Amino acid sequence: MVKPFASGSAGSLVAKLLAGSWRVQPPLLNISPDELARVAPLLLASGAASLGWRQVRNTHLSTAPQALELQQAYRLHTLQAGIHERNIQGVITLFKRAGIEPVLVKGWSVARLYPERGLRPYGDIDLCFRPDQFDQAEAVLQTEEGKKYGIDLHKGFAKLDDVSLKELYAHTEVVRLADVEVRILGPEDHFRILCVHLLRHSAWRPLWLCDIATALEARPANFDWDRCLGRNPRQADWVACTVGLAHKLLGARVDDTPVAERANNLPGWLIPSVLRNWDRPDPNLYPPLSYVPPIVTYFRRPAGVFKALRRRWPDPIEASIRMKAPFNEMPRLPFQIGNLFSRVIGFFAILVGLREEQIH
Amino acid sequence: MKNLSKQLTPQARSNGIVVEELADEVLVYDLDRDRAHCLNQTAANVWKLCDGKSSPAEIAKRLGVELEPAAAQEVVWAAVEQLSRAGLLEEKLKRPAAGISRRDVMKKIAVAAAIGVPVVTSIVAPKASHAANCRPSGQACSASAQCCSGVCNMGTCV
Repeated sequence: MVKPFASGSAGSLVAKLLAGSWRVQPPLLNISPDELARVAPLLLASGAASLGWRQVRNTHLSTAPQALELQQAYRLHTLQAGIHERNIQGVITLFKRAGIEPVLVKGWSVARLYPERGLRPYGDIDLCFRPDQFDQAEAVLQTEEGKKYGIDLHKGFAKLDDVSLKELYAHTEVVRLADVEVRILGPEDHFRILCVHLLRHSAWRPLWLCDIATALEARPANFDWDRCLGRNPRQADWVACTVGLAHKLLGARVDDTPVAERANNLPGWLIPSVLRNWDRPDPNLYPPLSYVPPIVTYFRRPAGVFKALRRRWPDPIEASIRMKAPFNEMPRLPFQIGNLFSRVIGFFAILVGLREEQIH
Repeated sequence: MKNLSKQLTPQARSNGIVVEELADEVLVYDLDRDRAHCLNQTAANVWKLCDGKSSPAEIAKRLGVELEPAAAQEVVWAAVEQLSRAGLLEEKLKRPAAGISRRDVMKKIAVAAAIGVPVVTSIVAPKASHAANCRPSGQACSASAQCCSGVCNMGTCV
């Protein structure tokens, strides 16, 4: 078992409370009322309230006001999960009737791995289609019945992973949701995508690391680590380090994995960076909610430009991923500066019309 | 007369709701009114027995609790009134004027506490969890991705 984190920061308290929370038998929690009062708002803001409630519901703190707020969130998430599942069944049946089959990513495909419905809230239903089926899928959603569902359509998987569409699709699997068969990514591809997604977004949401821990411990016996880690050694290392974060911060079991050694030897800057983000896991501080007026608007009204620039200063994890940097002991500052420069260049490219993209 | 007999045989709603059963309570989401309710075990048991054919007295018998009939009926009525107020019955149900005093009712409810007083509560989203993913209509925005609706128009979520 991993030692609890020594630091008394809010981020380390979040880690302490969520450790093992995804298991069928969560570990006994030893937390004071003051600690709960400190951590509950962070769990509520970041979507991990249900897991928080699962941890405190069998303790003497279960009737504390903060615990009751966590319970209310758990109840709502449970109901939302029921509604989402009805919608998923409905929309997939609708697409199948039209002769096309989506691949469901994120959302329910992660939530289903948790031992209780409602522990892992999600907002959207993300469906990926092969590019040749995309237009047809859009047409289905424009029908009277299709408009009932709030669906996020994706053309292929390019945004999620660099493995070819054909290869990803070949390894998809079919799972059952009540009476409907749902196609989802294979466990290896899914795991890799979850890891890289977490790092690309600075690992700011503790729930994402719980997803990693849950998927890791729920992986099938024939889980193919070679496939999961892929052919790119740098990306494989990112995945191994993400496993390490789940191990060090949340106590995920890694002993029987080929990445156990790396998971126990993480670069020194990584855990402090995650915990700093967990001190304030506020969606308003991260994209898309953190988007501020385009920097070009400050050309006319320079007031606030320094604040705007500071908000654009990249996080060490995100900068490393975007610069495709190795996760070693090297300071992250060069990658942060590099990332900033590449964005500045991108900004001017848009400004002079070389690229078409919204400026942020 | 027909109306009166309908009023006395409560029927649980089955359309336009999502029901989730937990270990010790039942959660109900009313899709028509966008409201969520939590029924404790006693209220949930009464609700399940509201089949539109049984009177509160019959429901009380079928509840199978070890209470004197009058006390059991008080439990059922307490549940039915709350369920009706929450909109979880097909029709609003009015309790006929009882010939007993408020004090007697309270005494009976106190006895009924042995099996758990029925409670139907509304579930309200904790403030902080509102903003977990997106901004609701009317809030300031600078990109469409920030809005729950997916549309940011002139700096405001649609």
